[in-house]
Amino acid sequence: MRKTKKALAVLMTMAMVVGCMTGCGGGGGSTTATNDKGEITELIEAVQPESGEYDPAGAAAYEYFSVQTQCYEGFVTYDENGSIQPAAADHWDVNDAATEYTFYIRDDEKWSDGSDVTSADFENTMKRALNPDNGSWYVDFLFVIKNAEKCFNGKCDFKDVGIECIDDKTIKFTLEEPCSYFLDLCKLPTYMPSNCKYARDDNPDWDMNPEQNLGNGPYHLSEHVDGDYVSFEKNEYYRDADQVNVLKITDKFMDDDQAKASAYQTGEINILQGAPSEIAESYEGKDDLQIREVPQTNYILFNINEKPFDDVKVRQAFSLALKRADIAAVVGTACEPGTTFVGKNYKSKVDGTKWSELQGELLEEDLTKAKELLAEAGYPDGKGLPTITYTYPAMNYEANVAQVLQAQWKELGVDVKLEAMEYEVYVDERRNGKLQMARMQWYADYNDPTSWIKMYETGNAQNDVKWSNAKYDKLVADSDKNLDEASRQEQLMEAEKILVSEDTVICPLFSASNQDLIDPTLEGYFTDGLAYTFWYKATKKSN
Amino acid sequence: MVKYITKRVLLGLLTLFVLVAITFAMTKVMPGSPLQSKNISGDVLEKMEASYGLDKPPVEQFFIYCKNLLHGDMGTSYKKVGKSVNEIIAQTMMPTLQLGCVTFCLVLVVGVSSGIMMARAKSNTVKGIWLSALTLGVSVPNFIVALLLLIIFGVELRIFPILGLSTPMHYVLPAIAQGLYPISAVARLTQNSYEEVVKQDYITMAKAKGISKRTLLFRHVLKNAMLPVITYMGPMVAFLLTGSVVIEQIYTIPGIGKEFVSAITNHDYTVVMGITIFIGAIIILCNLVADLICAVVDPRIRKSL
Repeated sequence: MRKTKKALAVLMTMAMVVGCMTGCGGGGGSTTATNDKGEITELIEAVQPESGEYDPAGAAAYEYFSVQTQCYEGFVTYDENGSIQPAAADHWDVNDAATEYTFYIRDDEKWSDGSDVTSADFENTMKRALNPDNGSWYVDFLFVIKNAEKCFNGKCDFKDVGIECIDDKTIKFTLEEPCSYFLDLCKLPTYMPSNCKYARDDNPDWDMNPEQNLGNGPYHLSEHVDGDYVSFEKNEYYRDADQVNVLKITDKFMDDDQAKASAYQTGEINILQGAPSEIAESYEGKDDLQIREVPQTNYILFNINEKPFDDVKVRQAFSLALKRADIAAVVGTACEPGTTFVGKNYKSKVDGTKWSELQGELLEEDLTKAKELLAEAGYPDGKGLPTITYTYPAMNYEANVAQVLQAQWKELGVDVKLEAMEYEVYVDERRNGKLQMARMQWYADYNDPTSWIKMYETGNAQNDVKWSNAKYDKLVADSDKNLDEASRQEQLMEAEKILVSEDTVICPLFSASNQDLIDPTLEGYFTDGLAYTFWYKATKKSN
Repeated sequence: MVKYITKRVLLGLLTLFVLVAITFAMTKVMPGSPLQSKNISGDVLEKMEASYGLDKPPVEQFFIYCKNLLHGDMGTSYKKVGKSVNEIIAQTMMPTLQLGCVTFCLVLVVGVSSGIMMARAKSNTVKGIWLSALTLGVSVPNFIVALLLLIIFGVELRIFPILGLSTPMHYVLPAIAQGLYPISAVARLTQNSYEEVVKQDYITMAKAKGISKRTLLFRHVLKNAMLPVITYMGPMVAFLLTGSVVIEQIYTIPGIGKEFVSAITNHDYTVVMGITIFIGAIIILCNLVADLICAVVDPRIRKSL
């Protein structure tokens, strides 16, 4: 028996050594194949397992955006700097009051079956999104259009909504009020076209059906195997079809980190966007690793409706006590500490400067002041505070962040309890106002500060703690009507100061960038202002 | 015999009903709603909950569920909009079934033959090595085996592909990883049972009658030695058919085990219920079939029924 044990121990040790030796990443395999014309025959990308529909008017979650990026083209698009560029519409008119937008769709804008993309196709998505039965996730963004909200709530007919198809190629929107960022909203799912012929309420499965889900972008859906992969093939009728150099893109649904890393190493996948830090680190210094700045913020949301966080001094004390650089360091190299709510990487529309540079620091890091504030609030050295819990979703690096936070608050004199929750439970509890301090993460839906700032307007569906500040609401409402970008930016910065510095409803921590592993022999692909990568122009490097 | 089968089937149905009731109750007490997600507003949420009947009292929901279940309808998924649970099970079942069949054959061939070889081996050294290998097979968890195989034969040596099940070569690593434990268990069972059977008087008798080695092995020894193996096969086949979550995750196989876990984390209640019932039914069925095969093979069992 002892002999067996010994043999076993030796075998296990050997197995572990082999595992350690071979597990140390590096050396991604490139198997991207090209045909004799130099076109790339297929690119395979690992993506998170799908959830939701591929219907722009439906529950368009996660994987949908890959479909949108490859297959659908809205009126406008973003260039690499996040500026609006014409896409399906070659030009548009805006009236002086900025309440009427007329888009002129290109004559050569075609669906992948060769038929014309018409104004009715755009109207079709909006009409279906405004039907509550379709459960559209992005319907709120249509509510800037006249009567759209009323129509959604069943208080008027769709014909009364401010959407008018003037002819096959012209569509006009009448807005409730001027909306300075309306063109940015046009990048959202509910503003994408969906083919009238197939995308109908009486044909619910059209979106996953390659025969029926036509594309007007560089690709169209060519195959969908539920839970396994989805493929897109070149749209021969795309207006810029000669620019499309990648004939097929396959998104493989994968959720195991080790599986992704291994598949990238063997070349069975060519692209791994958003690689976990542990994997990305093993590629440091190699051409495979690319950093992609994404417009996102990680922050803490205080429950302002319950003790002790109903007192702004307590909220400020907890915010000032943090050393954000240490927090960012545990997340990884592609992560920057920040005190603005608007993502650190967001670039101003006025001059392209990063928002965080224009706004400056909204919270100082000052432990002494934090202690004073806590004492002023009646809790000297944390004495008399009820049990405080910080809740975070049970995901990769969240536990590390939570531990650093706990240690830093300990210096303030407060023992904070940590609680990890399954993601769906966490969302539910947070939305029902049951969490004292909740970790939050927000990705911009469109390239404008309002994509963040509007969340905490009175009555917004995302305003989980029901915070309300008249001055904030007024600044945001005024900025909507303000067509001068520079002064509008001032108003939004002012509003952000109220949210973070004055009322401290939230405590910004850091902005993380994505670390992507991309076959280093590829070039020519580009990332738009919202951090979506377009592969269709990619070519293989000549040597 | 008929009475026995009827009794077992009825008992199985009762077990299933209890399983349905418990799982239903558990999904109801689970915190978090399947429809709560990032961007959905309160109005949309309420309307969606009503369309799924989630606004009704839980007892009423349970009766509606049971009624639909009797018609073979397990409902529609909350997360995969418009997909019925039946469709999801049918679809995710295929890769699991394919891999399960390959693993089953592997287990049967390798497990039984190595068991016999061990039992017949004369040298103690050979037996010792075999025993160590089998102990290792039983004691090393399958996720370690799966990862080691993936890293050594997939990533480093690049002998086998590691992503999905698209070609026969793709089956090799996951089948070995999944099969190592049952192979070891079957080999041990076969060995023990074989050693037991060859000592029996009827074997000595058969040998004395001078029948051929082959007839002796297949008709007399193996037929009797396989009984415990068959009993073990019941739960093992159920295990293979219901999919190994870990193997499916590591080798990115879109099977039923992976679907089950993702349904749980997504709070996709109808899919969780559907797969639980399905797995329950398979386990009950496999055990029943294993018992019946034993009865067919062994007249002693048949008589006692």
